[in-house]
Amino acid sequence: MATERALGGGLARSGFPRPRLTPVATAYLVVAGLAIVGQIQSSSFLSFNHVAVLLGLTAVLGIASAGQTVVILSAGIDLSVGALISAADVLAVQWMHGDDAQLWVVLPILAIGAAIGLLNGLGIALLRISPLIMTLGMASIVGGFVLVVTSGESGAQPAPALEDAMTGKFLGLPGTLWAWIATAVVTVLLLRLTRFGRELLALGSNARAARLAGVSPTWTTLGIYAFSGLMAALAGIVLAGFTGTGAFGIGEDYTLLSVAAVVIGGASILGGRGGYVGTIAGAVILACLTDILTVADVEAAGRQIVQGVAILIILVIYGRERRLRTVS
Amino acid sequence: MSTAVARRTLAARPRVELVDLVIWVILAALVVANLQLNPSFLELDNIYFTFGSALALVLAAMAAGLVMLIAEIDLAIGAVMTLANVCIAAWAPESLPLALLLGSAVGVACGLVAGGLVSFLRLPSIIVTLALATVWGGVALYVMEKPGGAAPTELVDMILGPVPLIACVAVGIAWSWFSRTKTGRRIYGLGSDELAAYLSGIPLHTTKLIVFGVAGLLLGWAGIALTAVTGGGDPLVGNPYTLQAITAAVLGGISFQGGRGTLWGAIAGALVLVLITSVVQLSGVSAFYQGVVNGGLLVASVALSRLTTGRWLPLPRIAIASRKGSEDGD
Repeated sequence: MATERALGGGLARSGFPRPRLTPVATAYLVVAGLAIVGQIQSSSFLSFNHVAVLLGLTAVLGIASAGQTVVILSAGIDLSVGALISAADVLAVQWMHGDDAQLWVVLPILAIGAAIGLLNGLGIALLRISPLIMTLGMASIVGGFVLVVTSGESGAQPAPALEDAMTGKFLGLPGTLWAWIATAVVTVLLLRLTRFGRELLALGSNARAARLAGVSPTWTTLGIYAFSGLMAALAGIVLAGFTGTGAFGIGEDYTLLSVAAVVIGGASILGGRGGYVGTIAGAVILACLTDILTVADVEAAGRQIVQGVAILIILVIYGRERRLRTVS
Repeated sequence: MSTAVARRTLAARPRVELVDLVIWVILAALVVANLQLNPSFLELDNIYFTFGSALALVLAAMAAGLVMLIAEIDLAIGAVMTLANVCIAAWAPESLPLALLLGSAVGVACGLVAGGLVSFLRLPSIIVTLALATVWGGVALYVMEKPGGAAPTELVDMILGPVPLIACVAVGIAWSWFSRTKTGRRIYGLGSDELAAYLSGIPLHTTKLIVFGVAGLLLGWAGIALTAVTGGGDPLVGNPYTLQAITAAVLGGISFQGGRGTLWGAIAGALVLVLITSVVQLSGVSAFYQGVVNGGLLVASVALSRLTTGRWLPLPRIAIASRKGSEDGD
């Protein structure tokens, strides 16, 4: 069983030809395909400006998905991402109150995000509550607390400095995109070069083997969920700056979208396989789909349906579990 | 090896443990608390009213619990209820039989789609149902862009009478019978250990499909009940029910790992949630706390069941939707 995992899906399905394309490569092929469709639809799709704007719009999803990637790689899931994005968005706007002097509240908000993630990790690692239940419950708790803390008023405006940074451009690229690039670099380095990154992958592919090899499941799990909470809070702050408003429930959609981006990017929901480079493709695919459908005048309901169906199709292509017949 | 064989023994019979009875004690305590705050709480009219407002959640919790029994999860609960709701409000605002038929049909259809994807295509239920929730939400928006439509007047009258109470008891009794049939036993067998179930010749695909189909039917009925309560259609009305239904099922002692608990527990769990809401409202606490209470309950109840069963030690068993076979010898 364990060896089978370690050897990879190709050998497990003996009798089938080993797939030539990895899921990540497939995801980037889909990106290319969508880009061609977009280019045919409107000739400016692949212009530098449009690509920069499109990627800038995707940044919030990309940042939130960084946390989700790390969680899913460890065979968990974080359904509190959306609630945390909403919370960070609303709190940022409330506490900044359109005042540049209040820009420092970014730090406590990030700390709150990490702390809530840490709570998720504590429940999952110590009380062994399933990640799904723990984060689903946490989403509800966070949503409730934000209402209590803000007395249900979302009002005001973020600090102008934040708004300028996120809506403006530097060196031709939108501010949100810079935030995403920074996040991406950190996440990829975290996964590839640090001990923590290797440990969480080990934990995701085989928790028992990882523990026997000296990985502390408790500490690693705590780190994983804290990172996810931190990323969600960061995404919320970026969203606050980008939209210039705070709105309850603004982040809700990002829970599904972040999971979708990770899975489309080729990561296995059972953990241990995938990476952030794939997730970036996943997020871009979702953004391109929305963009192309919007230009084609498909209404929100239709876009929603296409998005759901696209996730299912991609799942069918490379998200299927093994047949029980081939197990042990 | 011998332990592995022992582990593979099927728990074909629903096991009832002491922990499962706790929910009924909590339920009784909540009835007392409600009675303190509202002396007329146990009058017949009020009992009818309580069950009327709880029926949608009771049915949704049963659906959530049923899917959890085979170690899968349904995150499209609210979306399916919404779809049933808008279909009835848009296409059957006059006729009761048509409304019942439409609601059931929508539910079963949605359930079979999810079941087919999970069983035949072997996709993880968590993402399938998340994605389907988006799809059903989109379809609901096509049927009805903004709140509107109407519910058949007979349906609205029904929810105020004794029908919901009877319905709750009837579905509970139906479950007691169903769980003892061959299919019922197979559901528990499949939930406790999928590999063992496969090796002992249980038809996995059919059983999973039946579970999702029946769960869908329950969700369709939940949508009908919801329509009766709201008296119209709303393309967002079902959203909060996903979390609440899963919470109710978990509160009622249905294990997320599958194979443990009964749907009576889910019914009790749903009633507990409804009564807590009414206690919170009657005692004048801000409605903002409702989310905190619901989420807190979900987490606390799972944590509690871990503590009471002594399985709380930090072991590295953090797989979601775990293939139990992959945890061999842990």
